[in-house]
Amino acid sequence: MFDWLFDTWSRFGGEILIAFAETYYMVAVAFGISLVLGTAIGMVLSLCGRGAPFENQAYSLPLSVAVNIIRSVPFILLLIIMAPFARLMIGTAYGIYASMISLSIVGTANVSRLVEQAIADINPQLFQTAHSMGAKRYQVIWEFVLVEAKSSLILGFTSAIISLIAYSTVVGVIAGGGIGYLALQEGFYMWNQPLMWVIILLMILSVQIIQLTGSALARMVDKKGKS
Amino acid sequence: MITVNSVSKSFTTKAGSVSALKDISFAITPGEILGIVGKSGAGKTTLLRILSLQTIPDEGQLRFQGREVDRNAHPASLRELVQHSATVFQGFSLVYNRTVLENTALPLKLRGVKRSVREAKAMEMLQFVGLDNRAGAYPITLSGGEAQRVAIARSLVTDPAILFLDEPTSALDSRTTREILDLLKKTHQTYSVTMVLVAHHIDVVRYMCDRVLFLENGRIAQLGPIKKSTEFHISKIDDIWVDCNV
Repeated sequence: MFDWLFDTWSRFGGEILIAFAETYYMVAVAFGISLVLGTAIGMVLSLCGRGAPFENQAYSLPLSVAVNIIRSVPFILLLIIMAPFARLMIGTAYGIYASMISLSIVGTANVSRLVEQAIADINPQLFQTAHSMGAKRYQVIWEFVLVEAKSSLILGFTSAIISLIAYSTVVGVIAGGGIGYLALQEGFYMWNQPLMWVIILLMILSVQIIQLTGSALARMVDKKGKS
Repeated sequence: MITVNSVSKSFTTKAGSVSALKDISFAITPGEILGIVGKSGAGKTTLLRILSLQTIPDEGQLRFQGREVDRNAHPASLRELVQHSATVFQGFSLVYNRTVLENTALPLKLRGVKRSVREAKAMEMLQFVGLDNRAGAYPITLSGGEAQRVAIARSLVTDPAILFLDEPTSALDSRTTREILDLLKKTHQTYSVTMVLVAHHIDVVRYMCDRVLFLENGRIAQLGPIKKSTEFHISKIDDIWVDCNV
């Protein structure tokens, strides 16, 4: 019954492993950049927005508009319009490294909104409490915001990683490498249905593992429902 | 200790400018328990926010611990002044991902106090409020009364000169209210800390306060000593029925 599966694995196993390694390399780098930039932007969006504790719309409004613009552009079109920028930055518009640029941009926009949402769920009185203790701004963020939002942030980051994996399959269009490229070249253009199914099954499995790990980690750090 | 002179505060809403406080002048003397009462929207919370330096008045002078506070005050000097006081909020406002001990020690952590020193002081305060046995618990496991005791312990850990109490018993049942009020009285007697108590219920201020400031439409309607009550009456369920011989 599963002969086709073993047959496909024996023929393409090596290529599939390399493609997965490329995908996770792209996603890891893009997520690393998104984590830093997206968290910082998300903080500004939530803490400097209208009525927020550090209200300063001169920062939050332009960033909010920029994030909305990035999120409005379909990823495949973003890849295309970013090609000249990638060429300027790294000398080529194709391949893994060019893909990482677009993935980092869309990842940053995604993470920033997820961080904004996670912080919005914090009890607003906590900011008054921090102020009443004479907390400095970085202490408000470090000792209150990140501590209370860590569970929501972990779930948000998990969601962002899974979105990046999905986006990474699209970069096959610009010969970006990874599992998407293999699926497109061998699975679609060569119409290799068994290979397509093997890739889909492996993708399902890896996303399940990431989500389960993220959820378990979020539950572990969340003390709001534990003794 | 704190002096306000001709203080006013307005807020801008969609409907236009709303005046929350008008021409408020009074002084808080060291060691007293001052009650602030008034109907909803009378300006109690705004006044408490001004006194606790969470907001700066639009007009008038505010002197806190002998120092003038205005819009030009440097954030660092404001923070330094704020650290002379502590606030207990109605909703306890604990950090739920920190243990009771970590919550209590948090104000000291913000001031860079060494872990062993701050935890020893936090334990001392938890003993004072009778919750040293719950030091390792997370706030989600506490009752409302216990959570407020932790908030009180946390407010005392820095030895504040003045304690602001923003309706600290509004979220509690009458028996727990009595326990918290007795704890606050014990705090006042033990540490001689000045207290400013915003309350909805007149019984609470009669039981707690030396003087009361009554706000009406953002103005002081009355300010002075009150007839104190030594009892805080708790109605029992049997007391409320018109006829219980059914």
